[in-house]
Amino acid sequence: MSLVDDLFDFIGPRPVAAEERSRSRVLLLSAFAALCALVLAAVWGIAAGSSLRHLAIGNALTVPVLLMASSAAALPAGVVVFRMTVPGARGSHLVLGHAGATFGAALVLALLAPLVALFQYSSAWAGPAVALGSAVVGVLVGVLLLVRGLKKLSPDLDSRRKITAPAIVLCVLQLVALLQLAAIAPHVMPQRSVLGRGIDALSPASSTP
Amino acid sequence: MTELGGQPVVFRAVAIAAGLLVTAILVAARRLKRDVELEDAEALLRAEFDGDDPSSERRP
Repeated sequence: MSLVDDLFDFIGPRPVAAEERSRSRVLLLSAFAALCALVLAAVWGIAAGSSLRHLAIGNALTVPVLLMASSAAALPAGVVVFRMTVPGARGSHLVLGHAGATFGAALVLALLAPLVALFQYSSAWAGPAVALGSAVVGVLVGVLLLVRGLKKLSPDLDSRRKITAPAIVLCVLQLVALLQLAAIAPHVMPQRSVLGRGIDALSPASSTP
Repeated sequence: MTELGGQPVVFRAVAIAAGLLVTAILVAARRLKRDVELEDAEALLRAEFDGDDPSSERRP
């Protein structure tokens, strides 16, 4: 079976025999999912900046960097919490769960990219809203796939209950890192949105960096 | 914030770190692929030696 089939099996509804997979196979699948996610995120980035050519070209790099850096910021803490809360947990399982979820989220973004590009190109009012909406949908799908993936990788009911803490830590850390990284990154859209202003968006006298 | 070529310096550093990370993942993936191929070959040999069906041994 190819890596693509393996990956879709993992993010799909079918149960997987996780404990029969070797660590190398799990990590290879994770690396493949992460690299595919970066390419798919670049596609969404190009669509989100399609109203201006230089923005689209820049986004092909900026959006994957945001995804990669936020994952790198969240994953180590997530793995530590996973190892400390779930009995018999393997760090590679959380890495695969996260990579699968990131791939699923990026796939949703890439599938919505034509719509985002159309609205960004044709409407200055609706374009940013559609792009932000697609990003929110991507995040929601990612969270759902992370929970499903971790449930699949848990051997028993007790472990399944205990994955809540690492899943929450991972999601919160990645979201916070992503939002703050977006604040220091170049504009992804022609105007900086609320999500692109980081923690400063919460302050009454919010300022754009 | 300090600017360099129109981009914040911090983000440039993050971008370089992310690039290095992607390179590391690519290198690791190549090694993992070789490991997986070796594991598959080993499973196939073991199945042949035991006289079982190799496909069922390799992917249950």
